[in-house]
Amino acid sequence: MLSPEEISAIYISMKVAVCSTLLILPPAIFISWVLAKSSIRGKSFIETLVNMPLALAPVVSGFFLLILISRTGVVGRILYEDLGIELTFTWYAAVLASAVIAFPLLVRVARVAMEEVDPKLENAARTLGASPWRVFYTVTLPLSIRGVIAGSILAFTRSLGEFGATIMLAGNIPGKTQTIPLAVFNCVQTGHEDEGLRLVFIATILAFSALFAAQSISSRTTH
Amino acid sequence: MKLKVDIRRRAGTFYLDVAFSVEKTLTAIFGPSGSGKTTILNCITGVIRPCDGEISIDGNPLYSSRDRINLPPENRHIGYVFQEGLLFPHLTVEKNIFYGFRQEDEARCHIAPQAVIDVLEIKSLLGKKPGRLSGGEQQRVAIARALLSHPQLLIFDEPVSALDWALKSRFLRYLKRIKEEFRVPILYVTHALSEIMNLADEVIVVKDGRVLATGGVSSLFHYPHIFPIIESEGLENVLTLKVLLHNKERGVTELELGNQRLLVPLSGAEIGSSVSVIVRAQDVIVSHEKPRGLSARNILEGVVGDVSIAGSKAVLSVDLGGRMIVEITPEALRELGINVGEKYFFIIKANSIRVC
Repeated sequence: MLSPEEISAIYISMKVAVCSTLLILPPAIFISWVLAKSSIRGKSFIETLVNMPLALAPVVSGFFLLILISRTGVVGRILYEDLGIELTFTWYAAVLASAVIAFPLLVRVARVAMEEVDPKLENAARTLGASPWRVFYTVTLPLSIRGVIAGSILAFTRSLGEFGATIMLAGNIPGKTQTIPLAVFNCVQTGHEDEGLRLVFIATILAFSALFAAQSISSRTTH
Repeated sequence: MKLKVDIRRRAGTFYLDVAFSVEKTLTAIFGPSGSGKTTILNCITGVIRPCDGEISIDGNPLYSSRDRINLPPENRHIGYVFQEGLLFPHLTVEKNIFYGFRQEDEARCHIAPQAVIDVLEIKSLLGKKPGRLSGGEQQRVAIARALLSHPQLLIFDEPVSALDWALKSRFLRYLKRIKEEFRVPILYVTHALSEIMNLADEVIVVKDGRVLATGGVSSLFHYPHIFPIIESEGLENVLTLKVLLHNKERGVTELELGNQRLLVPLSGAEIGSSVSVIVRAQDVIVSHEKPRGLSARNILEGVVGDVSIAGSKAVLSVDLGGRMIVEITPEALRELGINVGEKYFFIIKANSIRVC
C-alpha cells in the first residue's frame, strides 16, 4: 500500500516532531513562567524574540540557523573543528529547525495557562513556607498543565508540518531527512501527484487528530 | 510573642503610615473598607514590600529598610487565612492541610495534626477536593492548613465578611476554640467590630492608612472620632454561650451567661453545645431597681465597667458574665445617674435576641 520511501518519510516526521517537542518543552516552560510570573525588566523584548519565528518566513529562520550551525557558522565551526560533529543535513538539523519554529507556539499557550493561575494561590503557598521553586512545581505547573500539554501538541503538529526551515537546514534526503512535507514536495516536483496524495491524506489525518486532542484538553475545565 | 510594625508605603494616591505592636493573644485590626488593613497584612506576611520602616517579631526583623532586610514570605512563619480561603484546587483536603507541615516543628509548637483536625471538624473532608466543599468547610480547611504550618502568628483577613450570620457565628465558635487550644497569637482583621468584640483582647483602629487608636474594646468608645466608624456598622453584641436547657412549655431556651441565665426563643441547638447570640446595643434597657411585672424575659444584673458619650449616644460597657455594650441616650444616663463600678439591672426581651 505505502512504499518504503513513504513509510520512512512518516517515520522520520514522527521522530523529528517528537524529539523537537521534547527538546523545547523545558526551556519553553521556563520562558512561559518568566513571561507569566516574574517581574524582570525587558519582558517585551524576550517575548518579541521568542515570537520572531512566527513572523519570519521559515526559510528565513532556516537561513539564520544555517549561518549559525553550518561548518563555517559561529557555533557549527566549534562543533565541527573541536568535536567533529556536523549537524547540517542530518535529522538532528531537522529537529533543530522544527524546534525553533514550534517554540513560540508552545510558549504562547503555556504562558496564557500560567497567567490564569491566581497569584494569590501562589502567595498562599509562599506563606505556608514554600520556596518559589516549590510553588512552581506544586502549584503553578499542576494548575497550568493542561495548557502546557495543549501547547506541546500544537508544537508537535507544527513540527510535523515544518517545511521551509527544515529544507534549508537538513535538506531533502530520502530515508535520512525527508519528512512528509518534503516528500510531498518531491512528488509534485517529479510529477507523481497521485503518490503525493496518499501522504497528503496521512498528514491531514495526523494534524487533525492532534489538533482535536489539543482542543479538547484545553477546553476542559481545570477542576 | 511581640510583633512590632512601623511602616510606610505609598501606592498611587494611598499613603499608609502605621506603627503599632501586637502582644495579646487575639488582636483585632478594625477599620472601614479601604482603610489599608489588607495592605498592612500583606506587608507583614511579605507578599508586598513597604517603602520603608521595620517589622519584627520578638526582636527578629522580618523587614527593615535601615538594615536592608526583607525576608521572603516562606521564611516568616506567618499563617495567613485569606478572605477567599484560597485552597489549592488540584489537591485533596488532606494534601492541602499538610502543604506547609514540617515534622520537626511539631514538637516545638504543640500543634498536632490530629488536634487540628478534631477542633475544626474536618475529618470527613480529608479525601475530598476543595471544589466539593461548602464555603464554611473551605474556610475551616484553610485555617487547618495555616495552623499546621506552625506559624508564630496567625492572621485572619476578614474571614467572615462573606458569610451569613449562621456561618459567621459557627466560625466564631471555632475561632474561640482555636484561641483556647492552640497557643498561637492571632491577628484578626475586620470591618465589623461586633463580630470580634467579645473575643478580642485588644483592638487597633485603622482609617485612611493611619492608626487612630489602640486599646481594649470598651476603651474605644472614648474616642469621639472613632465612634462613628464603629457605629456605622451597627452596635451589636455577639456572644458565644452554652445551651443549658430547652423549656418547651415556656417556649424558651436557657443559655449560660456567667452565673446568670439568658433566655432566648426556643432553639434547636443541642444541650451542652455553644450557640452565638446577637443582641443589639439599643435593645437593652437599664434600670436602677429590679423591675416587676414585665413581659421581658431577661432581667440581668451587671456592673457598668465603662461609660462614654459620643454624639447623641451614651455607650455603656457592662459585665453581665460576658461583656456587653449597651446604648442609651445621654439624657437617660444623666437621669439615672449611672456610675462606673455600680450594679444595675439590664432588661432584654427574649424575642429581640437572635440566635445562630
